[in-house]
Amino acid sequence: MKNAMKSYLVFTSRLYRLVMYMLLPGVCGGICLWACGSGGSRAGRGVLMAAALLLPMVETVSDSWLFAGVQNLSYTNLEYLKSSGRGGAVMRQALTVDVVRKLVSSAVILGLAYAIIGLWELLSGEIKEGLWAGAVEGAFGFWGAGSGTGGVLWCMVMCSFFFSMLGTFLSRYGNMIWINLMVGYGVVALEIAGQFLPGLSVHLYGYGGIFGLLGLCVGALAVRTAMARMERSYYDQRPFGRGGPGMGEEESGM
Amino acid sequence: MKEGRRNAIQVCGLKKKYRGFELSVPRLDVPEGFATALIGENGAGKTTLLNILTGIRRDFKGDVTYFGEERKLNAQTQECIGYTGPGCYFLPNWTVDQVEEISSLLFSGFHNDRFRSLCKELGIKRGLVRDVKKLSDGNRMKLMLAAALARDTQLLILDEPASPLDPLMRDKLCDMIREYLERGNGKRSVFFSTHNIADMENVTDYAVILEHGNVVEEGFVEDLKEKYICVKGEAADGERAGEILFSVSKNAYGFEGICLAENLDRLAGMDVAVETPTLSQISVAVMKANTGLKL
Repeated sequence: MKNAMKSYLVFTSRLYRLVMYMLLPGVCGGICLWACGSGGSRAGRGVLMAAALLLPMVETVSDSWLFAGVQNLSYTNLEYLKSSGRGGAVMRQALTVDVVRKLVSSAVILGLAYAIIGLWELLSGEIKEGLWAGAVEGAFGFWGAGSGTGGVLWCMVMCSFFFSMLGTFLSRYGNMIWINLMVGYGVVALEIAGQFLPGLSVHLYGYGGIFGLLGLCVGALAVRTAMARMERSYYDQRPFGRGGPGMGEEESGM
Repeated sequence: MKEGRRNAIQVCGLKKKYRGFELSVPRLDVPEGFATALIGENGAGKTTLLNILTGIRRDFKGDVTYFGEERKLNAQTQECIGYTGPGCYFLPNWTVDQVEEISSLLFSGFHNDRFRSLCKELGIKRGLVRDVKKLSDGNRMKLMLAAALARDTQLLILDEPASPLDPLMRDKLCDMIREYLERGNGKRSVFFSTHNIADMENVTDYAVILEHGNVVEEGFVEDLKEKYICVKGEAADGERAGEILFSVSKNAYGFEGICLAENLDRLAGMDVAVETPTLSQISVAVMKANTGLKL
């Protein structure tokens, strides 16, 4: 696990870590707090919704600094990794931890905003008791009463995770930031459309589970595709060929 | 020293077909303890050969062994090989600091302090946002060299290390190669491709000349300089001498060319002067004799 974390972290620059792990949750929490202070918990809820919708876009665009173009057939920047016997393992671990990190980021950032709203409502007297229950029922009443307190957060986190993974997966076929940006817009639009799924407000846990499962499937596909691309790069490229020994005109001599 | 020597790399019956090009190396020995230059025109197959030797390309026929043993290319062997490649080597978004971090993860013999000191020595600036893609070609090559030399290796495989470097840095590169070999006490070797033969000649011990995917000449530089000879003569003898010489350049005052030393007696009767050729002259002559290009 320690090695996997290390593998992932070496792909991230100090600036990236500063922005994604410190600045983003900080700014999101700060804006939420400011919104609650200036417009009450209702404004805070708006910020939380906006964060859930924009997080996939941020993840998609920021991935451009990590694995841009790694699934592209013309990607040729892996020579340093390939010159080491550990290169493949490091790459696989980094890609896998990135999937987990996206899930954790969604949970931490949205959970933080969620907690801030609840705390605000409790301290400001908007609700009298039951921090979580009151906050959620108050904040997401528009999603339907009786949907469960944790269900809203669960569904938002999983939905955000799935669309983050989808955006990341699609954008890795391109290696320019504008492609990530366009894909980012696309996934936000899809996510907004996703809010109108029939019965979403009633089956929050169910939909959350489906989104989570789909997110993991897309994550696994992203890892598999990038690793297959890396493996193919050891061999001659064929437009529709398969990777591995024997695919080119020559067999492996190793 | 040449008798019974060990080879850092031994290639037997290597064949690689790629988009109408065939690399065919029936036998190639890269001697251990020396700097070997791989010389050839563009498209001769130098990068393909180096990629095969470093494990970046794996679809080939033939046998490659390392360090005088029956050692095939595997993770353990790769640990002993330092490699610098062409432009698409590092991920473009990596910073210099990330190169250090990832190197220490990829190679157990990587020394962070040595890397930092090499960066300082080579003038590579580090910082929060110094992306590899923003470095000039020369600085990128310096960074690759720093990463390769910061490791405990037995063999350096360098693909065109001199090309992006300025003359001062090329001189420094020669010093670094020489120092690397000296510190190895005969156990370290360097195999590099180059078009800058003149600049790299003072560090080259052994030369391999590749044309159209075939090794057309190889040997220790001192032996090659005995095998070939540089001939200069009067313009009037130019045409006759041209039949014997590998390559000949003529002007109004005379001609100059390279021929096999064993053919020197065929120049008898001509007013010629002979000199020891440079590796660059030998290489150009051999390449001219084998090139498919109309020059």
